[in-house]
Amino acid sequence: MAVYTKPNYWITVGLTALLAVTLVMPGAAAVLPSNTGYTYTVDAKAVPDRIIYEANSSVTGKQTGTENFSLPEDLFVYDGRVYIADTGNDRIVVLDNKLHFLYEIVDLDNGGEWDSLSGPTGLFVGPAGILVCDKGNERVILLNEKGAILQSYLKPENETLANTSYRPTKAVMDDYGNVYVVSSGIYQGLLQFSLDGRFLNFFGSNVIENSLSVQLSRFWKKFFNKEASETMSRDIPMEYNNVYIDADGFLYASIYQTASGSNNLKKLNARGKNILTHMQDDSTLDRNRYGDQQTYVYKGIVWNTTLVDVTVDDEGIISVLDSTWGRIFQYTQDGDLLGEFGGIGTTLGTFSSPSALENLNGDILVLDKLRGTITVFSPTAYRKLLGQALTYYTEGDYQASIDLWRQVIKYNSNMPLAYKSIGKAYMQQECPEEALINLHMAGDRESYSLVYGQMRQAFFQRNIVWILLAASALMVGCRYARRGLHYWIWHAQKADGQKER
Amino acid sequence: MTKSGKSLRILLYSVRRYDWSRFLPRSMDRRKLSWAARSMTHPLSEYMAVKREGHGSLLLANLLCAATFVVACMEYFWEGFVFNYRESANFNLLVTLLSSVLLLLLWSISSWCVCSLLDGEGSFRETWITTCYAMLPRVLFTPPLILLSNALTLDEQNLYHTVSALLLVWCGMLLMLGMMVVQQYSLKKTIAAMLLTVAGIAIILFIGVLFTSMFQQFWSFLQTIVKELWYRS
Repeated sequence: MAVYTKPNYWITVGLTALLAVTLVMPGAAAVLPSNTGYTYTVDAKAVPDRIIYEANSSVTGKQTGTENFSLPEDLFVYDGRVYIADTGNDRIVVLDNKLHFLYEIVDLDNGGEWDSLSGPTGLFVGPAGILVCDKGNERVILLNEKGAILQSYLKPENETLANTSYRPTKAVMDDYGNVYVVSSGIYQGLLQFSLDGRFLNFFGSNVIENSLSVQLSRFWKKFFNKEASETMSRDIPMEYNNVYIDADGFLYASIYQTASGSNNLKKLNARGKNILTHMQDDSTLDRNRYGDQQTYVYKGIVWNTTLVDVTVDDEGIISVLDSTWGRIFQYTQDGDLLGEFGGIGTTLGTFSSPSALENLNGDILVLDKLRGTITVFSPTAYRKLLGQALTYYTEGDYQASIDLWRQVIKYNSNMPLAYKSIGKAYMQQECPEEALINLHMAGDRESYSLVYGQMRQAFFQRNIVWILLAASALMVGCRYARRGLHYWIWHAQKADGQKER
Repeated sequence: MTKSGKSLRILLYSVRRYDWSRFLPRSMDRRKLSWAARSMTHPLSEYMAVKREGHGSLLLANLLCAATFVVACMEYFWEGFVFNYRESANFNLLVTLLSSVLLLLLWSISSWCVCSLLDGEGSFRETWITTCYAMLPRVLFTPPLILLSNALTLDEQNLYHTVSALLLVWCGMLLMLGMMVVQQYSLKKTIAAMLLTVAGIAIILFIGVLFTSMFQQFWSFLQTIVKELWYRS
């Protein structure tokens, strides 16, 4: 058989290929976020948003009634009092809830002998006393209010730590008196001590993230001998940089920067396992990455979010502090973003080098290391609305919660959490159609799928008779239609043939 | 027989005896459609027939190439919400076009280049036809799969992902067998040639990007000269 070919197909093909190759898309311009509030849409786009907290005031050490703070590293609120680790002045400062000076701890009583602090970087206060990370003296000490050392937690006798120095930076104590210590340079996890100062084990160890560079270095190490591979850089897990313990005894630990940028905040259960994860691992928005979603490259430097502190309030709202951009991000226990505020700058409400944050009676205190100031933030009306809506939902008042979330959407129509909450409230109220619309808007595929499955099942149960009837009618119909068609055509042909003859 | 039955019969008969071939291009034998369909299940004999007996149709191949693009768009917009992580607002026509049509083009060009060097017996026409015919399972079965994906929940995601993976494997097998038959290769040589083809695609893309940036620089250079002349005159 002759094959008909058009030679100019070739030219068309070649030209199209060239044209397609020459069309190169412009690279995305690096855009630095401004100091106004923003939030992330379902597809991880940053869009302007209302600010959830507003700065009230900012106080220096002088204004509280003592010397100015020098490079303060940590802040803690317990029982209506604010404790500050004034690192540069080697003291602990105690303020009341109006931020007025009460007393300071400078001289320590070490079993009758005089002792002092050397660059205290971490602070935790509980019923047992004040836990201080005395970084310069390589110890964590438990003090009472008068400055007497009740217990010290020294470097554990562990062969894995033989070549590592012990520089405890942050510590917390749980209800059973176990002490968890973050020490810079120790990547095995949190150091867990018992109340009497005995080292128990490493807690909540991070794992090496699987990445291309890790695989490559593993690949190369197969070909090198021992000496050569020892000179290569080692892949070690990321170390924690801060830790917080909530009222239920869960530890929240932040990590500086992970290779992929995700899993930089963990909520550890009693077995040291991270429970702050989303089932959804394939989303466009990486929900296990807290803080800024984007990585910016500005003047040749990569700017990533760097979480330095985490705190949780009574409602379970997690606030994290990002020192790169000086921002505070708030999340629900499900990891949904409520909003953000703060920034790097010189005006009230911005910082130069924020180091710690705490909740105080619904306000948020942020400590600025370089300026030595405490900034007090109060929730805006919008944030109060969010809090109320969340509370109604947890209390089970779904209709009220839906009404409030609708109001939230009037303020900010880009908030996935609002749609998700409305969808879930409708789910509870058994309005599947409404729920589906809102869950679709929120991009919550798990809940959507759940509701859809229920709807589908209900549909089948309601219409099972009709579905079966239709299916059998279709089967029978197909059979007879085929036969009938052939019969008709055959008849027609026969009739036609007779006519032609 | 009733009157309506009679008129229906006449209608059906006239449809049947109408010469539809006038709507097909002159070169297009109607049997080529069924041969193309047969190539999905009997790739070895059918690709051989494409090579030796003229069973292939360039028009059909080009239509299939266009259909891969249409199917990619359908997938983007209509795949069930539960499985579809793409935002319809982020749809990029160029990227979709490049990842469907240009990929086929690059594959055939690259494989033709590679196989010409490796004693292949295929012409570009045969390569292009078999490459496009290999996309038939995807083109045919993705639309019903998209419909199905709208009725499934996350519990049945394994079913959905397995079926779509099987479709891809099927297409891949056809692609491989197409090269094997058209170039008259052994299996080992086919696999080697496929790997080289992938490398070839990378080289073509690299040269393309190089050319583009060079051309852009040259263009801006010309612009500067013209501007300079303009200012000085």
